[in-house]
Amino acid sequence: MNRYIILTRIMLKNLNLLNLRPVKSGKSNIKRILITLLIFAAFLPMMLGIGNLAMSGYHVLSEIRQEGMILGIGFSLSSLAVFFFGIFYVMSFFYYSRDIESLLPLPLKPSEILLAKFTVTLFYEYLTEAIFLAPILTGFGIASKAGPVYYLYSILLFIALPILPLIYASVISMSVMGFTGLAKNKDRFRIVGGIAAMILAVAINTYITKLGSSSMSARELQELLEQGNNSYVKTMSGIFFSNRFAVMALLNSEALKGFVNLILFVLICILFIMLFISLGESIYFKGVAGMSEASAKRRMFSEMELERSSKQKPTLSAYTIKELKLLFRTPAYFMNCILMNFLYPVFIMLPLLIQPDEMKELQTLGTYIEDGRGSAVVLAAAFGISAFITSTNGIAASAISREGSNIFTCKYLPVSYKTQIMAKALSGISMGVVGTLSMLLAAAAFLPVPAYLLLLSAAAGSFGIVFSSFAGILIDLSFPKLIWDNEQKAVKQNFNVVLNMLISILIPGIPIFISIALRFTVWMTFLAIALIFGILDLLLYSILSTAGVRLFERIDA
Amino acid sequence: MIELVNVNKSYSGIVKAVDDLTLTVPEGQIVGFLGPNGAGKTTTIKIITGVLTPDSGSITINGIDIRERPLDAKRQFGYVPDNPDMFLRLKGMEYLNFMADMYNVESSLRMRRIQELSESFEMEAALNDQIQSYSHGMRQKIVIMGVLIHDPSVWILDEPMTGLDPKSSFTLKEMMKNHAAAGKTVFFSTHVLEVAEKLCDKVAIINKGKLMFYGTMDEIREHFRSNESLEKIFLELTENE
Repeated sequence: MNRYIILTRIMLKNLNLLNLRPVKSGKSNIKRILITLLIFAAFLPMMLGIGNLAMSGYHVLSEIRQEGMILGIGFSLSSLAVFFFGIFYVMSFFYYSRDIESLLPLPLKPSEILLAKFTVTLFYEYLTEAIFLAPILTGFGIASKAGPVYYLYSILLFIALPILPLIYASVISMSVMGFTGLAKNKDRFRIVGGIAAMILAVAINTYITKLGSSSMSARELQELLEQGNNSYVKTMSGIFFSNRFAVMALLNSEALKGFVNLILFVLICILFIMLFISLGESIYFKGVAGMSEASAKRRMFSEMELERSSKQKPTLSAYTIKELKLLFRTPAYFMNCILMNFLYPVFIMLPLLIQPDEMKELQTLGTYIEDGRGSAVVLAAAFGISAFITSTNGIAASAISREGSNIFTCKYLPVSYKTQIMAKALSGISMGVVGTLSMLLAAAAFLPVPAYLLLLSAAAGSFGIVFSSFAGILIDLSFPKLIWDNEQKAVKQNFNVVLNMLISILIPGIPIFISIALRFTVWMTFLAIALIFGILDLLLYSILSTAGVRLFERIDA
Repeated sequence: MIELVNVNKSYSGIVKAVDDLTLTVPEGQIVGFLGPNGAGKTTTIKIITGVLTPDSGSITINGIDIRERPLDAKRQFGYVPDNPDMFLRLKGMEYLNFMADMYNVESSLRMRRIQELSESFEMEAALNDQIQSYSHGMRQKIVIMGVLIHDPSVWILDEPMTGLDPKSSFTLKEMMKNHAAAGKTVFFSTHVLEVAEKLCDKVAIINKGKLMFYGTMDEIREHFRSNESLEKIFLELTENE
């Protein structure tokens, strides 16, 4: 136990969770703190909105004595989010993390390492919860004029809630990764394993939602709701069954019943943790041992291979290819930056295949598109989505950060900083193109979109892709996060990526708004996008070639 | 030729890592760079290679100022950093070709060099695998090969012998000698005093960022009027004064 606490403390210290602790003493820390605050400020309206929704929802639902639904939905969605993000976090903290190599030789039990890593992962999940669940709990508390016990219980539940879904995510990941030892190419297996865990998570996810939506007919649901007395809460089941006790604890916080439910919830968590520990003790090391091993064939090069691979390439393209190779081959980068670009069609198709009813609704969307106004909105939306997709892959916004302690290599190569910046931007742009195209193709397969609109969307999208990539690398040049011990931290726990996502939603949102507000036609919309973002892209290009280069020069290696 | 004139570098304005360093590494010679841990060797090398910017002073490589014409200056040298753990997910062959592309080495020339270098370092069978799968010594070798692929006239090597097996170490030393004999420049840092003693035409000893001594082995002995080993002299020179 003692070693678990020490281990957890060290890991948390290493983590620099909120990016607030100075890495090096210097003036840039104020900038870093400001950026962190800015991002939190950006989430504030969303949090206020959620809190408000919970409050007004309370007033409506308390009329029919079903106010528990708000908490129920809040807990369920939070659990789902924790579970989904959990797969990513577990993969990176439990398996892709570099500290494993220094931990394995120490006389530690697998469960001690596992539990410490689990705790650290929990802290990340609290961030997710803070944005979503905290406003619901507070809003509900204010609306119901709850007493101090309610808030005390809320805090306890806030802390305990992610445990169960995170254990599910861990067990799925650990089961898949347990087979690593059998794999010859460990790197590739980790990538495939990550994909498998993700798909498993999506499948379970859809299965749960389907279960939730179809197990009860509309009439049955209505009858249930009419019963009042928070009868809805009692039907909460499925893999997050214990959430029901959490809701009951809060609803009856002033009575003994609430306390009993709280204890039940906590007991379930403890039980699951114990199961998790005993399972982890037997399978965790199987997946982790040999994590750093790489496969080697040690095969001679033939003359022909040598000749083929030794073709001289222009510096810019050689550099871009290098960036892309590293992105594809590093498991953490592949999972976060590459995979999603190919998965968009799957995400669009999966719900449609499971719920064919929605296909009909899509057909009505088709008639909407045929109308001139509709196609203008579709074009504007496609443009916005392409910018957003590019920002979510995070390639440009982490291009400098990903260099980590090897940033010095950029400094001694006889390649101008401008070329290096552009090569990095190009790697982001190329994956943005892949993501946008796969999205457009999926849309074309399911929606009756005319060909000209698809082409126009692709053309408009290219302005968005370039914008997002240029903005991303400019942000990363300004605040590179070079100190990390785990590649995941360079891409996922990097505020630059979040910041770029916000910018890539807000600024491309302007032409969308204008197009809808001023009732632009398709061509006017396209012209507006091309004009505004053509100029913006050129502006960013010139900023990158001047101020961007100076920023790169100033980065201390 | 490498020329440093009155170079200063401090970290966070307090700790002086390099203190008014003036040093000329002439052509046709191997110059060893010695000093205890934390003396400023790696910082100096990083300043020469443009990885770090000095607070003041000038650095020229073959007469080209690294701060005024950085790209031209960088094409003059090849730099082996002290830690070879880089580009780990590229295959050896891909890394060599990446470096060749960065230095604009044309196809037929690079092909010949890849063949020669992989033969001399016995790396032919490893080039098809990712650098990740290499041992420390093999990583060191591939980095050295990547540096030599553009045949730079100035070699700057930070602890190049660390982790090399005896044969590769011997090969590298021979290559350094040949390079200097061809009238070119070799500048390398090391902790192994025997290597410095046997290999170097001159040694520069640095401590706490200051140049303590710079001269040939004979000069060093004369200076200290002793027949003592470099080890003894080094220990005396770098003792806490």
